[in-house]
Amino acid sequence: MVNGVNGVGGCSDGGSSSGSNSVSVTQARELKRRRVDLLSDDGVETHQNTPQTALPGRRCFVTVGATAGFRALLDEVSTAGFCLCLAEHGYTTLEVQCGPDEAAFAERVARLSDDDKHGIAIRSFGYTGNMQAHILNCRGQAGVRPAGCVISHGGTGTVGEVLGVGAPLIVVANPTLMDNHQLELAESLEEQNVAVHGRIGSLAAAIDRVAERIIQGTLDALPPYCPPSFPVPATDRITLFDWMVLTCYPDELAAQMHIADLDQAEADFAQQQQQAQQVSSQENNGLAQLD
Amino acid sequence: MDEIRKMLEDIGPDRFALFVYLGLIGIAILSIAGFFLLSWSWIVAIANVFIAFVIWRHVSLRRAHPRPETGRRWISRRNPSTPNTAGLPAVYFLYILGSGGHTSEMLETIKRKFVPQANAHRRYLITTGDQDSLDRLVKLECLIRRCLPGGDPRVGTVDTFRVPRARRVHQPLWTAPLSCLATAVHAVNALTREPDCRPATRHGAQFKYPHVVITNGPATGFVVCLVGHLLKLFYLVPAESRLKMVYVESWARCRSLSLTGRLFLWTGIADVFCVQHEDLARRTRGALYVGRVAAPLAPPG
Repeated sequence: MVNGVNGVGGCSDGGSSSGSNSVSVTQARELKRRRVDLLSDDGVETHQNTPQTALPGRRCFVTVGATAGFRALLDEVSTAGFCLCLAEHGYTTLEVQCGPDEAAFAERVARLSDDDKHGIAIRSFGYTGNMQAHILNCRGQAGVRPAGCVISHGGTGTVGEVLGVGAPLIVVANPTLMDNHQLELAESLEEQNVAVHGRIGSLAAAIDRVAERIIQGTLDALPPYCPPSFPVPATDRITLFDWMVLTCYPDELAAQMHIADLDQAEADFAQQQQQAQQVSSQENNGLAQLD
Repeated sequence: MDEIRKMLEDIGPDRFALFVYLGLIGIAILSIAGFFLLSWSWIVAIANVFIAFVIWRHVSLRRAHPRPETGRRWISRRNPSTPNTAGLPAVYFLYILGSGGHTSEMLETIKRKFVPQANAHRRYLITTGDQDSLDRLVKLECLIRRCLPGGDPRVGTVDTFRVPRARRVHQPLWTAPLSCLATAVHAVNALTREPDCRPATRHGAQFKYPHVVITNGPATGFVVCLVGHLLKLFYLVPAESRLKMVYVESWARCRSLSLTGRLFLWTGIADVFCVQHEDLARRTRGALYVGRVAAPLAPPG
């Protein structure tokens, strides 16, 4: 709770450094207050079960992808205001995959004073062969670590990987790419409510919304991650390409299409019969009750 | 791991491709000579015949493509025993890996469609200098080998081909044609060179050309498919039984088509044009909605 009090003092600092964000700052304050309340409610319970100190702090992982650089995002996460926002929400580590701009990012971080960092440990690197390990560090797991968040560019590779793992995700579209196509995905994911659409200039607000999602959902206490089974079960398999191979052998295609149609008809028939049975049994029950 | 890496090493050019190049150079020389020797009326007449032939072939090839309704019918048949390609003499896929996100999507698609069978050959097309894609590809091949007992023939066979990139990220569009030409020259090799691990002495012409070419959005994919289409157009490859082209629009595109997607749709060279968002499928004529095939399914819970 001491941390929270510090946070309030820091919050007004953040407000003065970026006056235009006054709305988001008040929102953040409000949210944080709620979070502190929630923690104090839960605090009693968790103290009885497991000591809370065993869990590490939240982690934030920022990635710009393997292909193109994304300076605007790197500049935004290396500001005192952003570090403050992270600290307020209980984050302790910020990991950044910088792509081609590693040197520039390191320089910006070096210019931040210890006060500016608000106790956030910042690590950066250019590329990594093992993205999944970094993403898993942000996935909340019961009794191991609280949920952090991944701030990603809108590339499908990274976004798909993060959603597959189940870590909280902020998607920031990189506007310098061809027809700004990443914006579409970011908006669509926000609509489907599977990720937060972060905008350059107001990333702190996105962090607040992730915190909201973590509180509302079960993201802090997921079961251990198990990778999807391979080869995939026959019911989930993509069959279109195999049908395309069969088009090279028309006789075989016709034969298999016939089998598939027959099977489908059989399945439909069985389903219809089952439905009819259900309806009739319901009617019988109704009659029995009337009697 | 190193074994697989060695196996995935690039294999060289092919005699057939050499004939194609020599033929192209010959046609170029002939047409230049003809330009100076023949009268204008002859040049115009020959050009007209040529254009009419190309258009007729193109239209008849497009007619032979499966319609989206057929595709929907295929997808809706969720029966584990069909389609069954294990009994065919050969199943040969060519996957075009782009870079970054395109590669991730493609590898995910391959993972989701993989089924172990001994008659399968996979060829991967990688752009030169794309070490990242190669590394991830090696990981996928390791995964495939790990799920089968050692020495099981059902892992199938693999090889890779390098082609120069058609358009780098941020490369201006006006320099793209030059780099596309370099890609096209190499694409002929990739499409026609028969795999070393499936020699003609053992398999005849079964593995000569890929059955299905799958691409998902890099410009390189369009150039390779265009070359494939031209090969079919001029009867260099049997059109009815080889080089079926499947375009899968990137999962990133929810409301509008990408440039490559528009090119594929406009030229109609893809046998099947797939999109992964229902909204986009409704807006695009001739597109087949296939669901989320290129991104991992969300974990339960």
